[in-house]
Amino acid sequence: MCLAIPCKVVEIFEEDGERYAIAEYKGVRQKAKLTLLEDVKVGDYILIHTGYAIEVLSEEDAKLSLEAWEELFEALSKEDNK
Amino acid sequence: MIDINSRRIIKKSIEIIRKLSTKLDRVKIMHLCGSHEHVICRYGIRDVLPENITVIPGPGCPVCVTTQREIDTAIYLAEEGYTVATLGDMYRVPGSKKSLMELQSEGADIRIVYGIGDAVRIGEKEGKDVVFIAIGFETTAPTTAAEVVSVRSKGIDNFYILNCHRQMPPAVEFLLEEGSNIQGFICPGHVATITGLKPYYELCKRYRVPMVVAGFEPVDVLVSIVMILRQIVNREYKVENEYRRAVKEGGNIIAQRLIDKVFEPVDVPWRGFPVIKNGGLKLREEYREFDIYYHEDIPEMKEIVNNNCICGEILRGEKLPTDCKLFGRYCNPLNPVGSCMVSEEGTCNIFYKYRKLI
Ligand code: SF4
Repeated sequence: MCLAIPCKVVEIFEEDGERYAIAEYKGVRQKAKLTLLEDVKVGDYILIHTGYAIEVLSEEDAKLSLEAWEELFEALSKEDNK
Repeated sequence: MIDINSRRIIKKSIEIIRKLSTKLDRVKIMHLCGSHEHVICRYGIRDVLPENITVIPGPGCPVCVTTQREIDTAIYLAEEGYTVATLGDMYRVPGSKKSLMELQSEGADIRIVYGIGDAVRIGEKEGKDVVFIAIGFETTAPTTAAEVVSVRSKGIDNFYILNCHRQMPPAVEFLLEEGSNIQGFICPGHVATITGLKPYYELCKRYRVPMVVAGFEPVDVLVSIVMILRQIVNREYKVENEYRRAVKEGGNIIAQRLIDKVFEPVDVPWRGFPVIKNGGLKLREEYREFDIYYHEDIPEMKEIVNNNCICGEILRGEKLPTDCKLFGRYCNPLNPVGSCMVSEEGTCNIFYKYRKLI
């Protein structure tokens, strides 16, 4: 049920008054309702859960996380030498 | 998307976990999501952990925590002639007499769907009375809420839900209140994309236990263990967000509003647990026409479980599948005895899948 894979939005459209995205992961495409998200653009990465996009993933935050972890490790090695 | 699994970070995390572990006695960390168990088994994370650091699975599997009575109710409804739509995992969970799958072979109208939207469509297209088994935590509840609102606005009158939604934080509270010896929680990232960090702050403070919201890559699990151990060594307890790339502090506000519009908290039993205060969600008065219990006179059912199945203890984090006499030979994914062996997120199913690696 919990798909952890970020899928890339390749198309956004409307059907029956509801917004949908087509998102792709390794060539596999799936359709997801966009009711739970406001700003989704083609090219964004989304998490899909039981047919609904639940969150947009931030590439920027992914990079920042890596940096933050490096910093955490740095801080830990200092704590260790105390 | 950039690859978050930096080899450097992974190696460093393992090193740091080893170092921190030398300053600690035994530490038991619980995670709350089947997807975390997958990552842990698949990448052999337990093998790289020092002996005194254990990560155990908790009640993080929506299908598993669904009670036998709820499954028996779904079966009753299908026998009464409803079209029962369900996510694939629920289809094979044994009820007290049979599963939905077995019932289908006897001619009942059971449909496996990918989400609630497909279930609504079946009703629209075929004009039958459809009941969708709505399971899941805070990640799935907004999809049910959104669909109920849309069904109402479209004036559809042949769609109902058998509501089995659960809320995760109250179950964590139950475990902590019981005095379990868990010193840290890896909190489920996807639940937190919806709820944000708020539900964990109070728990963390009250029970003085580190809580880290984590993503689902191996690096995420390792880093979250580093974060928890560091807090324990420093005698801290706080909520940290390891999964920043998906989880915002405040969560998904649209989804929260929808849940709140359609549902209210309710006390419900979970498999393996007694009634948990606010452990579930029920449809608000304005939406109760979509509740199959409101529409149909459903007889009282007893909770009948197989006494040899230890799913309950596994869900409470007290035992592992390998402690179960039935595991493997008598109970396996082709012939499941309990819900934990059926669901892709169930601990028994995952342990079975990776058994050669464990
Ligand atoms: S192995 Fe089967 S019988 Fe044993 S606890 Fe798991 S699901 Fe229940």
